[in-house]
Amino acid sequence: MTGSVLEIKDLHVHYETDAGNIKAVNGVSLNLQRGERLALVGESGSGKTTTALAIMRLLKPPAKIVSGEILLNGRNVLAMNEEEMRLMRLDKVALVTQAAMNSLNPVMSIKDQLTDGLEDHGYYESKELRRARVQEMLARVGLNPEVADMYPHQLSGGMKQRVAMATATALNPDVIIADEPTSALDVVVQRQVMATLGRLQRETNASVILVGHDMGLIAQFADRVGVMYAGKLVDLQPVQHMIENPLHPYSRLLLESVPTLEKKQEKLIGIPGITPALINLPRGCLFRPRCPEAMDVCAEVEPSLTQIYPERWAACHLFTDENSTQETNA
Amino acid sequence: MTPLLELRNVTKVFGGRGFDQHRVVAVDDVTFSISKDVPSMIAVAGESGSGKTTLSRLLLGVDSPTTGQVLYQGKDVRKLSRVERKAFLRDVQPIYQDPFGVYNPFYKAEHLLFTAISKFGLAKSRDQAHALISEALETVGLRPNEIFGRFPHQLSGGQRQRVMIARALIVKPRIILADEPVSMVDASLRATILESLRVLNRELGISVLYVTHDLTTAYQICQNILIMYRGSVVEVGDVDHVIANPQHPYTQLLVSSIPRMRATRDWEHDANEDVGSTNGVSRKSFGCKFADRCPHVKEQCWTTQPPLFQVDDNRASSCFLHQGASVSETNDISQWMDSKT
Repeated sequence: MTGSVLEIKDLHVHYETDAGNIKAVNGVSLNLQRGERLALVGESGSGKTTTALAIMRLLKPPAKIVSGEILLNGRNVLAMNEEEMRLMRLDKVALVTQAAMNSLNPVMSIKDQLTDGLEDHGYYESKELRRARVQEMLARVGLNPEVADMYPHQLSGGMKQRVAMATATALNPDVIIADEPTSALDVVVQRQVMATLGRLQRETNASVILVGHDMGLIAQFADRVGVMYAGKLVDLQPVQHMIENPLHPYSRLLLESVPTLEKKQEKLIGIPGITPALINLPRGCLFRPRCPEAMDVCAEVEPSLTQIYPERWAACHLFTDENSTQETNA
Repeated sequence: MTPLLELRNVTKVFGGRGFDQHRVVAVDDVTFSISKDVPSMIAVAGESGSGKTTLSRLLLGVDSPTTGQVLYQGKDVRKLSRVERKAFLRDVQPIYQDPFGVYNPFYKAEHLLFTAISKFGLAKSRDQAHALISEALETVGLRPNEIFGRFPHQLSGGQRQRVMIARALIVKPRIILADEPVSMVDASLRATILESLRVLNRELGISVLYVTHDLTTAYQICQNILIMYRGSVVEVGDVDHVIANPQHPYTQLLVSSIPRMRATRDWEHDANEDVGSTNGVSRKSFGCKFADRCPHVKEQCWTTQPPLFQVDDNRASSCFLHQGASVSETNDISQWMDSKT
């Protein structure tokens, strides 16, 4: 891990609707180190996918990046023109989504789809070279060479998701964004696909942002976990700490609501209440109405993401008064 | 045990006839029943294509079996009289996976609840209907004033799903068939919804058939579980036994593939990349359906379908690894379900 590959600084993304602006991402800042695996978790509507798509600059209206910076290898992605951005995608930053397996063209053979993106990036090669490259791409994701001549309908969901991964990693991008890459797959296939993604990451030393909601999956894969709530990052720490000792009350409740196989729970407990409407944000902490530990200050002052212990950040007043280093994230 | 709803040697085949290769046996000779006297909470689990949804559709009477019978109070559901059919429709209520698809977007959410009441004549006046609805909504943890007057799109996914459970409650069914009721809602709400299903079972005595691919939630809320693989029940029994100590190689594969919430990286092995896809033998099996993926495959597996062997008191597994264990005379899998509450 040498230096940060990706730096997000105070990102704001709004969905502009007739009813007002929905503040989907509301001041997210984070750093991604080279070779690091970062997971983003949160409920639907917490802004995790919007953050991921903002990095790719693939947000469509009514979504709009209002302010902030996204530095990829030190270059601001948000300041690039469309052509520059097109060249960055796949080459420097690639996306694998939940729907990736359904985004394959049904009337195009797998080998043509694998090289389609490469041609877009100026890799026109002789037939032999091309064939060799396709074989290498397939081998990389653990697929048989015969898959090259097949069509999407002949492949299973897991195989299609692997083809999507082969495409995404063809040019050894610095950052791979995996947005719920296995939520449509069965557990057995999920384990296989995640093992493949893990190996690809190790081999290419790419950084991965895994967007998901399955805490078990994240525990198995990530180095660091960021918990998002209502468009904000509220808790960010190494995976071990996150699972054993989450800081933010929301992270704790989120973890407690996950059923386990380790012991039978007398009662399953969800998180009471619902996420706030993101149009008119109330004052203070957005989690306050649902928080079991809310204090007076929470209604007035919004907590900012602060380093509480080394490597461990949280946005909660429970920690800001005592034993904190009072260091606000830039 | 008097069965309320029963599958007797039910097979459901989709697609081509005879030797057509597109023929899919979705449910293969399954016999089991849901008791009338003791409320049960049974999970049906398996991967996609294992036949678990078809099984619940057969029980609901929306699909007819290719062979075998679906019986309600001992009568074939296709041959019920009008009165009996109405009782059947009332007693067996579905809850579907998609809480978005069941609403008509032009009507307010409570329309669905009032319809259920008027169809079954459950209330004499509108006020009484209103009271019934409020009570049902509160049982599933919703505040009635947050639901009344709202259109479906104004409710969250979890609220919509809980209104569906409330609807199932209003008609006071004896069985709820819940097909992946929480696969589209967030983890925080998942627990709340499953808890309300458990309350229905414990406090109101409604039997719940929980169809899912998620063994963890099945383990948490159910007493008994059926593991299905390509239409056949491969393991059945007490959920504590089946999950804690799976006996069928397929169940073992499933349980070991559940991502455990601990940061030990058990998954970081290249060997996991094709675990359980194939065992390297390419051969068509006329016996066990799991033969081509099973790490313990033997010659007889390819030719003979293994029966359900009784492995311990409340559990049976359909695998020749247990050869020597006793085999029941009937293939009714309810016999291995311990019906304590």
